[in-house]
Amino acid sequence: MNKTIAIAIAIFALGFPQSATAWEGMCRVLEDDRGGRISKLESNICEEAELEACEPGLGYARGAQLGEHTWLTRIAMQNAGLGLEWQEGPIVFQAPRPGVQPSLQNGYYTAGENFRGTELKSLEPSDAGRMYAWTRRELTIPEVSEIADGSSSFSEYILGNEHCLTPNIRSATLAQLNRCHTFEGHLSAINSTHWPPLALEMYKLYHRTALNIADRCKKMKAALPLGADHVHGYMLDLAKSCEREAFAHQSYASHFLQDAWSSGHMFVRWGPPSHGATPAEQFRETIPAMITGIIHGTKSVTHNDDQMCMPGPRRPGKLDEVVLWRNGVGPLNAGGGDLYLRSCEERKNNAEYGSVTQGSELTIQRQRMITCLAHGFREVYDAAQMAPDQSFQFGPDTYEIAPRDPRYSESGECWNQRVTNRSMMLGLGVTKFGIVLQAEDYAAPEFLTRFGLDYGAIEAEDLRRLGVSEEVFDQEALRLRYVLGRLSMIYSARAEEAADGTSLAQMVIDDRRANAPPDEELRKIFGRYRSGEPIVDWNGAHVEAIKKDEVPFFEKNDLTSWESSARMDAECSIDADCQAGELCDPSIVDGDGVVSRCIRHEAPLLRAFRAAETVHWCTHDTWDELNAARRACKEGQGPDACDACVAMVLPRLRNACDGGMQGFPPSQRTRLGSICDHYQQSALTLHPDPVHAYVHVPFEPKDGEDLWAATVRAAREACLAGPERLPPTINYNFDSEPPATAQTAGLVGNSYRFAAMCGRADDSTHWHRFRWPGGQGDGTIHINLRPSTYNLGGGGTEPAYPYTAPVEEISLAVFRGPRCDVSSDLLMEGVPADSDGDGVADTLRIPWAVYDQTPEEVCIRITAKTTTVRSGYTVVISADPLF
Amino acid sequence: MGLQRRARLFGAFSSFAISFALVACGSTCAGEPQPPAPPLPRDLPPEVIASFPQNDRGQPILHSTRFAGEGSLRLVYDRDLDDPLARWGQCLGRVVACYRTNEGPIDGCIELIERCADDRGGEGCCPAQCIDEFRAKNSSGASEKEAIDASFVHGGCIRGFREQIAAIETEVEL
Repeated sequence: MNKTIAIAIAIFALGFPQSATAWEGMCRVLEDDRGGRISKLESNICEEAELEACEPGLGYARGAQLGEHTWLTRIAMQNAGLGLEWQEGPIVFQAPRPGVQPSLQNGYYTAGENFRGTELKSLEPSDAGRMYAWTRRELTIPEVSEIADGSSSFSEYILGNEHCLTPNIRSATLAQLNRCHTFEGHLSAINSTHWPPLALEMYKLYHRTALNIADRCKKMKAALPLGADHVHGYMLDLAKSCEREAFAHQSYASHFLQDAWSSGHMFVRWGPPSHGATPAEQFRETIPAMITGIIHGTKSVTHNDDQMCMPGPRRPGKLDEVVLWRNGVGPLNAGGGDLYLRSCEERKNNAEYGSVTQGSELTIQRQRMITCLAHGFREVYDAAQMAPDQSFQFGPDTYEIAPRDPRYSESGECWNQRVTNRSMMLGLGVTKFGIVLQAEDYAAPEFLTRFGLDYGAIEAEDLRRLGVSEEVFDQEALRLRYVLGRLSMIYSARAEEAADGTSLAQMVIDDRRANAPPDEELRKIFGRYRSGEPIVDWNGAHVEAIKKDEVPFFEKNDLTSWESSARMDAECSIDADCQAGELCDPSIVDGDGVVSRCIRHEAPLLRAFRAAETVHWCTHDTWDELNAARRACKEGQGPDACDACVAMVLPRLRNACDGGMQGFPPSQRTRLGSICDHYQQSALTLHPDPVHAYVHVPFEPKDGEDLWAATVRAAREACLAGPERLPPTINYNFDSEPPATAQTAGLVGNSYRFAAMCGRADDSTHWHRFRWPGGQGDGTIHINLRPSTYNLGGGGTEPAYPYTAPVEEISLAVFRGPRCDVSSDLLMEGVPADSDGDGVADTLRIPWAVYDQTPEEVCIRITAKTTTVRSGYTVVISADPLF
Repeated sequence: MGLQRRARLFGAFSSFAISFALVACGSTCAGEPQPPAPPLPRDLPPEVIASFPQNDRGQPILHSTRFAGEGSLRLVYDRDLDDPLARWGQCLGRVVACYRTNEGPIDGCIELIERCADDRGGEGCCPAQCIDEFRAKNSSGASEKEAIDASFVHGGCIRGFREQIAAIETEVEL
């Protein structure tokens, strides 16, 4: 190993704060995180609150995010007209919990276990097979804008940082897992997504997801039934959850827009968005990351003011030390960035350059940044509204954009700001050297080529253990110095020749070609492979990878392609058994059991936002999954398991007897109370008519409860009843012709039971066909029809509650098959009878004897005698042996 | 006067001045070339060093990150570093110093750069070979930047430099 590379004994970096990322994220431990966290924001940023910092990784996902990103997002939301409820309430995971008080709570269902034997509760949202515990999770929408610095995707954060979704990174031990989620550990090498042009692609990914979710929220509101309908309130709560999900994604997107407005990020950089396949490649990627860090500024590491994030000159009056930016050929503006958002103690008397938000010279940067951020939120807000308020005025921290551009937050005015060539030179240098140097010499080659790499691990063998040979280490240490020397030469020259140009920030040397693609000389400054491809390319080379979903740990661009189902052929025991972008989930329902299978990482996100994503779950929850939740409830997994089951069953609960109502016209289906039916009616669900997605339970209000309370009770009773056999596919529509084939399902014990047909239709004749299997000896077949009140909701001018027709108004007839010809095959007609001995005929009855062992195929016709009759009924077909 | 306005005025003035100088002078400007700014000191003052964290060799740690999350990968300033690459940096620094003292072409200033004792290079100087190479390229029609790249930046004029960086400049395959 080269002697210039000092081997130190101490692992020094453990004492360092997190290295510079962008606007500084500040995760803090809050003992009681119920509300009020935003009030600690200002004092925390200036380190007056003295709150305990979070442990990295797992701790990060469990702490409060009280840094500069959160501050900016809050102000942006304020200027976008989103009130305190949106800014300060910990509402990201707020969802209605039917039958639980209070009805709106923050959290989602998990397995209720501790993570890997630690004392930390797992935050991983569970699939239906293990939704045993409601896990509280409090997070405000502004805080979401900070998490991209501690998790590689929104999903990873929702998973509690309990999985490392970035490929090629070891995460078997807790220490390795935590490193996956720290800037110093692994994130710094791949945070090229926080610089343009990749930052714009990241913004588009999450902003457009937010817009698409918001559009769905609008449709969920459009699907709301009339205000008097019993599901109206719950569906409104679901739509509000949807809006929270949309704004949470916008907040995540805002991180990248905020980064683009930190002067320390107003340049394109080198580096990929994901790790290389081998440790050697990954080590090479740390070198451009380190050089980017040098340019960006090192205050978070050294605590020293260091251009280019610092507003104003380091020395009073030295205006040539001021970092400047401009958009295209627009005017020059003073800039500032990370760790300089607020004028804390040491800068509060600096009225001109105290901070980005309080320095008078940084007004333009501040206004433009807040304007872009506020427009981003407003674009999502407008997408979620039935009728956007065109007269809305943005807040006082913005400037007016006229005419309004509905895609303003993605426009060049929000993304093309670049620092000047002189600022790039200042950034490359070490500002603190200014004690002995002029600003022009900060980045002098004489100094930069004497920068050595000092690896804090103990011996070379430690590097080898990590997969980096001494040869590779020496090579990269040399590369660092060489690249710094060349950059120093280029930057220093350009800073003199075209100080106010912005070509260097575009990785272009000559300002006459400022808008050209990056120069090969700069783009390939880290060397190239024999193929000619750069070892480490500029980050813009990876734009297409994000557009095409080729970075597996980012959420997919197309919301409709988010998959919650497991790959059932992908058995797993750990994440490494799964493909990139997947994790191993032990809560997958398979038949009557629960197994481990690989799932896409969007699945936990969909689970955490189950209420907001009801439209998705209406068509993705399977019958087995519903049964798993019902089984968990029945078998005593605890009250939360039953609540989880209710949350699953409720949206698909039809006040009906069986799936026969699927054949009803949609307008009649929605009248029967299923929320999924309402969405289906509004063309919101993704798949047509998923018969088995519904749970059919006939119920009526009782004991003074209203219809909604009865609905929730019915859902709970269904859960407590446990699993249900897959119901037959039955078309109970009022067919004028007998079915062509027999219904073979419905045999229970020695009887057939056709549950009640509910509701009415224009044709008042209804047919059943069934096949008596025979072979049971001689006996009597009984067909009993009893009218019932099941499933007759009111609506419009109709009676508010069910109506039961007397048996006199119903005709029951049996025809012998196989043709069931009405003119020739009539076997018998029903006779009114009193089944309960109260002297009132309440049943139509047809008994007939069978004397052979052969199967008997018959048809039953039920007809209303007048067109105004509507009634539910139950038909029970049973047999009594004669001998 | 706000910074933006001052900066705009300065920018406009400097652009005008550069344009004027280019039109009026070209590479044979009548103005006397200014010598490069003085060489920079190798040592940093103790108060500068003290303002940074230091490793066990007393070197200031200017930046820090990790690889694979273990140990720390630290960028230090090593004032004792003296190899062909460091001497190449010394020579590049002299060219940069010419930019500081001259507006427009710096070919005249380059002629005034301190010559090192031999082709190994040294502190605050360039080997004469580098300047000769620059002159040859510049006079053969290459632009000033091309001539600087082919001589000083290429570094073939500094003994041992090309050999030292061969490992990183040649095409590699992992």
